[in-house]
Amino acid sequence: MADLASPQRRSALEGVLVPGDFGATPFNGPGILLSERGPLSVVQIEAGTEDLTAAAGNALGIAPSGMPNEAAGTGRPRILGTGTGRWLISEPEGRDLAAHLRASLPESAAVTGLSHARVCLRLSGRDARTLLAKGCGIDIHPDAFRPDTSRMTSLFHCAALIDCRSAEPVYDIYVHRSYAVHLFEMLLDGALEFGCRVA
Amino acid sequence: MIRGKEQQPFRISSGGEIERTQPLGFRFDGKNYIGYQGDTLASALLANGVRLVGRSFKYHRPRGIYSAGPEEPNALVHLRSGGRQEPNTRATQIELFAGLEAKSQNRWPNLKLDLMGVNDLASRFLVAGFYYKTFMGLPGWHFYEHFIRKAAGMGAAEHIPDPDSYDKMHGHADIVVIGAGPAGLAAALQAGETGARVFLIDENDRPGGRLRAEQESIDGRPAMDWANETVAALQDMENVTLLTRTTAFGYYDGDTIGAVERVSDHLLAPAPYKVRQRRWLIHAKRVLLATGATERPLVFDGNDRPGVMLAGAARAYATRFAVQAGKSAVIFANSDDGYRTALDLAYAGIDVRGVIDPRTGGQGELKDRVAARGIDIVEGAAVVRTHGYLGLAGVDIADLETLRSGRMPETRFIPCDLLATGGGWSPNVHLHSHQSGRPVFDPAIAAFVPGASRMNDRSIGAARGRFSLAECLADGIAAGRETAQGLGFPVGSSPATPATDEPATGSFMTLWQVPALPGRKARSFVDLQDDVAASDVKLAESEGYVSVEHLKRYTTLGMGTDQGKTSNINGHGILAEARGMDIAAVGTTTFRPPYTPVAIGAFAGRERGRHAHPVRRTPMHDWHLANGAKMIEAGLWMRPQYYLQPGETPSRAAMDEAIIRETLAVRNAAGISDVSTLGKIDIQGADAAEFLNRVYINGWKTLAIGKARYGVMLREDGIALDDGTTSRIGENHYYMTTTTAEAGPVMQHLEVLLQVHWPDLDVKVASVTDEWAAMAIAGPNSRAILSALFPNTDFSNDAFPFMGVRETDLGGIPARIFRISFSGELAYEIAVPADYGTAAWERCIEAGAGHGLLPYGMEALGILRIEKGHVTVSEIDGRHTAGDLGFGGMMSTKKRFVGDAMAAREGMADPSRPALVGLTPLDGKTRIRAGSVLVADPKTPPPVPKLGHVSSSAYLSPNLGRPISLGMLKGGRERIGETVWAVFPLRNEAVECRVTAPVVYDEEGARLHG
Repeated sequence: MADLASPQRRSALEGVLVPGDFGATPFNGPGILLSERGPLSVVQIEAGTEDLTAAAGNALGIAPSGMPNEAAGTGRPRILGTGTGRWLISEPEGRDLAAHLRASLPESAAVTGLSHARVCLRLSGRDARTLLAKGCGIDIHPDAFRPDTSRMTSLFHCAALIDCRSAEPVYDIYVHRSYAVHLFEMLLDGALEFGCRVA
Repeated sequence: MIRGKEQQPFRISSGGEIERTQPLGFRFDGKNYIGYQGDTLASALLANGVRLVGRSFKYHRPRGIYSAGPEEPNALVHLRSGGRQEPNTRATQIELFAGLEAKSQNRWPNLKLDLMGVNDLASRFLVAGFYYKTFMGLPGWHFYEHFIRKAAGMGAAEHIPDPDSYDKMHGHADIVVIGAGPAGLAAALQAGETGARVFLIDENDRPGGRLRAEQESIDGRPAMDWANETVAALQDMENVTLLTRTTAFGYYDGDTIGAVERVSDHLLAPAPYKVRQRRWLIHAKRVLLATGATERPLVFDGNDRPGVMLAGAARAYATRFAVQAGKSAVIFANSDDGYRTALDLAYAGIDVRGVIDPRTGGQGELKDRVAARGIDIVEGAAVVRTHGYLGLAGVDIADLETLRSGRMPETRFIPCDLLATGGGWSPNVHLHSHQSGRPVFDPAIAAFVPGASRMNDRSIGAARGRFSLAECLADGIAAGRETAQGLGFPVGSSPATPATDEPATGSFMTLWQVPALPGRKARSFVDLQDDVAASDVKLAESEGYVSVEHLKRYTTLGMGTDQGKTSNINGHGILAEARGMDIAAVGTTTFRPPYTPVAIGAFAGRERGRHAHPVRRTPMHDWHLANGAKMIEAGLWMRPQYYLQPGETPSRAAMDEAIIRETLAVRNAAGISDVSTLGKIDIQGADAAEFLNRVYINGWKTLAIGKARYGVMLREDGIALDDGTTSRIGENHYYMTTTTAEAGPVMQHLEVLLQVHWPDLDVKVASVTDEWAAMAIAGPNSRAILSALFPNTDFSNDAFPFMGVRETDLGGIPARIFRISFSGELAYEIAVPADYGTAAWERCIEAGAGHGLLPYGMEALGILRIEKGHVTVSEIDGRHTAGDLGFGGMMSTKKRFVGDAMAAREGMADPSRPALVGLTPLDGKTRIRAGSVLVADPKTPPPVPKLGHVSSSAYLSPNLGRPISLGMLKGGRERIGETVWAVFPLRNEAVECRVTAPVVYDEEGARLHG
């Protein structure tokens, strides 16, 4: 892998995500906080003929959950179950995560780098659930979509992986890079009535 | 601010829900009035003595406010102005706000003098089916149609953009209760107390339903006290969502309720950042339909005059709005509602001149209370005629029995300005019907009640024909508890049903219509909105339209914005009478969503303009925009169409110049194109080669690491699915590319094959389309540019041959280089991680500066590939086989592959099938339009045998100096050298073309391999 220090990654949201307060100005502050997390390393691993749970746990320091839609880890790394024997791992960019996993996992495992294929938006604030309900058909009630679980679903007509980080609520939304501007604009537009702080 | 004299001559000085301290100025037909907060437009107009509010649809008869609810057939007004104007809104449903402006509709030049009223004089000709009988089939129908439609208008929409925004919202509930009348409130309270997630929806501005309009009591206090306390309790529950001003308009599969919340319709304009309306989809486990009932009119001669009104509406105006709907009233009803109305109107200070009751005996105790007040009661009688033109002046009553016998009865004139009529109540079974519920006829109330359900709904209270308050409360309590319990929520002991104080009511008498006076052409309207009279129903029956569905379409009974809420049952009753059948056997029409009209904006939500659909952007999107690119949609993607250079202004000539410049650059020097949109799929696993071998028609077992191969795949039915190159990156690691259009379908295809058909194969696929930014550098100078970009890589033909693949880095950026070509030139594709896309692209531009490198867009790309006969989605269009497209020779006979069996079937391998050919205009200059049909001779009389079609077209190949096209032509390979005609009848074009081989430039491919 090449030296990542010299060329700078250019976010898909460059020039679009502009920090500031937008929309209504409720007395108790903006109801929505929206920011981009990154740069991240994002890698998908998928089991071949052998179970990956133990090897992935060793390589990452946290055991991935065997249940789809369940998440593990605090973010360094975060391991999201996205299917049977399949996980998405993300962490702030540092080490070459894909190479580390390739070296640590059995040969039958598939390791696919998706760092540049995903944009991660951090959505929080007291109106975050209402905003999600505008563009997403799944039940986001705190009893139905609990912290440390994730959902692969459609959000404003984009395929999205939504990771519920806490009940506060805090969500990390992974979206395909080419859709990122559309999704960001829809989230911001939908958030204007609550007041939106973009950071 | 609209000011007016605060007169309101029909306003009662006390009572009602209105706020007398909050007067609101509004304007109707250019005149200023004052109403109160809490009024509807209808109640405010009535308070001001405005009785004439519209003209009817067909005969332009004067019409007044008829109801106090969503069923209103007459009082349709044009609300607001400018971009916010809205036709056909019901005055009964518009909450009054300061500054409201409305106009009457369907009249010219004005409401009082409507010249189209001439239609009414000609009414004996304008019967059901008149226009079709008279004009259809005659030459010139299209000419008449315009005028007929103008005369029979229903308001006009505008083309001004709506300045407001609309939104969408999803909700999830254990139990959705629709309707917040007594049954709905009682049910929601019971369900909410169990902890179930409950949505309570009501279309009005506040809960209460019919209780707001009646003088009922619960537990010895006004019934609205109970309603308000129940609402307060519900609002305290975190698990209950109460949506007012929200109409549940549709009941869809999976117990999904479509609803529209009118967030700002009761305001002059939405508050900043607030939406006008919000469309909900509420996903429920159980649905309780507490949708109430709608009162039916009675059908008699002149029953449409302004001043004739539903009895329940007259009570609502008196009780809820403190408005006298008239000063002197006659009441005509076939149930005890007549006496209830008499008492309420008398209490409101209206001079009640008489209750006309068609029954003879069987009344309940209310009759005695009315009699005790000295109000005249006439039994066994009916209203047979009304008087007045722009407003009611009086009624004639007569003995019903005499009338039915056909003899001329003695009539008696009663002067009045209000006739309150009640023909019984019909349960609102609309939502129940939306999901294939079949309502059944209940003779006790002469109406349809909900029948068997296909979904998890239960109708309660008046919605299932239980009209007394006590029944509604008991029904609600039982349904709320039982439904929650059925979902596993704990319920406590059953509460007592609150006590009501309702008089015993008498029997109900079915009366579909009052017979006309002998010798009189009666105008007895069944459907007021569509101007369908009882005589139209009978005419339709006599002409053979005996099914309710045919009756509806022939007469328009039950059509229009009200969809027959007040008219359907009466119409079907009259049809049943005419057929001598029971209405239960005649049946009723099917209700379909929406229950009431929904603005298109609410369905669009915020998905309009540039957010009408998601837009995909490549990593180099901003560079393209900053460097003169005109963008074009390619599926969801935005791609450069062509690039204008500094100093060029957009014009057709500049565009042509740019396209020619870019095409020639690729052929003569070098061009660079953004190909990030191509689908990319990462394939890993021990069986990856075997998998590719099964997916593609050609062989894949021998591909070496570091090499790419072109492949074509078929659908299971033998039709070509997609083409592209796949490269071998490692021992068990491949990188597949697809066309832009088919990226998604190919990924789905592979996943289905692996998960369903071949789970035994050790193969994992992942979409990496968004991971890689890809750029193609094509042209004779491309090798020199690549050598400058990658000084450590040997680009000689021997070291890096055609179809070679290398993994390297571009000044610290990881990169994959593929020597592949879509243009037919020496060409390379460079893929880098997407966030580095712009940086890599800029380096390419910089390295190519001395080599004539130009960015090129979709237009040049199209010309280059058409010159080379390369297919895209225009040819791989789901209709053609590999053989049709010229890939027949690639189909391996040594292995099985997806689609092979079907591809070998007779029809699929027929040599006369359309085959890919090139097409050149004989004159060397006429453009051939894509989509043109290929025929032997355009002068053949129809039907003209179709030989094929033009699939792709380039208006000019600058390398060849003439237009070129690709097409699919029957037996095309045998026709090379012949001429055919490309015709485009829509534009009256016909071009004679010569059929050529698909490849018309560098036929040997020498440029590619050098």
